[in-house]
Amino acid sequence: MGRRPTIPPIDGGAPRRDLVALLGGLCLFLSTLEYLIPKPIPFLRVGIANLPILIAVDLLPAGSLFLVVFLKVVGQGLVSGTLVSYVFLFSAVGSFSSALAMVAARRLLGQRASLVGVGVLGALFSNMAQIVLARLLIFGEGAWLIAPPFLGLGTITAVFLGLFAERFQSGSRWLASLRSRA
Amino acid sequence: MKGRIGRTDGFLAGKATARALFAAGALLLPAFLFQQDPLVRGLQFLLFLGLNAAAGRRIRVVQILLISAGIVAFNLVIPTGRVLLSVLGLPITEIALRSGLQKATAVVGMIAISQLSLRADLEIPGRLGGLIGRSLFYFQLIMSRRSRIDRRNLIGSIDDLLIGLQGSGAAGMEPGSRTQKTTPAGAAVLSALVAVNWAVFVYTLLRPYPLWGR
Repeated sequence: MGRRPTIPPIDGGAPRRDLVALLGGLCLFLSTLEYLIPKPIPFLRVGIANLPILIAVDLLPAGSLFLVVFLKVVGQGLVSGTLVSYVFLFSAVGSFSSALAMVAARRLLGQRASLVGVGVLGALFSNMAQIVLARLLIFGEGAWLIAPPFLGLGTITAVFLGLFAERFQSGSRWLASLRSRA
Repeated sequence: MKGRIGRTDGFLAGKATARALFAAGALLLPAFLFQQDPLVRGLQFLLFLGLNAAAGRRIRVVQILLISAGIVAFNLVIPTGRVLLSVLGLPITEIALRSGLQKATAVVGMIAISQLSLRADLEIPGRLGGLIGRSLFYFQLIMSRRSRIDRRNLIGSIDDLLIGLQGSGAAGMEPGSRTQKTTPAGAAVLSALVAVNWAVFVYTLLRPYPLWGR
């Protein structure tokens, strides 16, 4: 895999806030697409709503990235009406665990890790955190039974999302314009 | 700046403010979650489901059944308590079944309360509220332009969409219109809803498991 372009963090309060809001809105849009996919467990998600967060790992500083995650989680809760439910808790724990792992991977490995690797690591952390929560709150010991398919599905979808993010990052005129403004 | 959330319909639309609905939902939640009798909790869930249906929301029965069955099944995997019956060699034990039903009704019931108590014109104060509002505004813009996303040129069409949207948030945000006041009828319905659920909860505290004995 060739060397990918490094995107410097976007500077400036107001433009960055607007970018954070735009990425949050995009997360919500992808969440609604994901909502159409039937699932036996409410928090079992394919993860396409994480695509803007994966792209933002190289675009925003950690604080702003976590704001995008916050917008995604709260927005999902408000739009789907699950804000005061376990679903929100699972979504929050999974999303923040994933973002933390992705930021840590970028900090520790820099550009040696591709977005596929960063995404897979994020998915694994997100799914593990949700399985532990499911073990504690809902399924009891039975939660370990869903761990293999849950982690397997998460890894497969993360590879596809990572590949998509790589292609988007290298070909996007929108990202290029943001880079030129930074 | 305040943020406003997406839907405009909802239970008691026109009779209660979004804040009053949200407060009622927050008060209902503990009376539901701390309820130990699975049958009482099931009845509470049916009540919330009925109110959601009355508010015009689509009730996804198959999804609710799938979620509940999945949670109960996973809890039955570890047998606990006396064996009630055996299905395909799997013992259905009482404590595991009760635990599964408790958790299943908690999950689907919380979703029902949440949907009942969240309405489009709920305003979230502060800078974060403003950011949420702007994000939801972008979400609505993307939804209105989603037909421009071309499956054959996914990356290019999403890219074009984002280029067109960048910066629209600051210009497009409108101040939220004030919602109407809660009418006496709305206040009475919400108060009765909360009072009945809390009365049942207190009753089951004094006389535990009135419907499903220890």
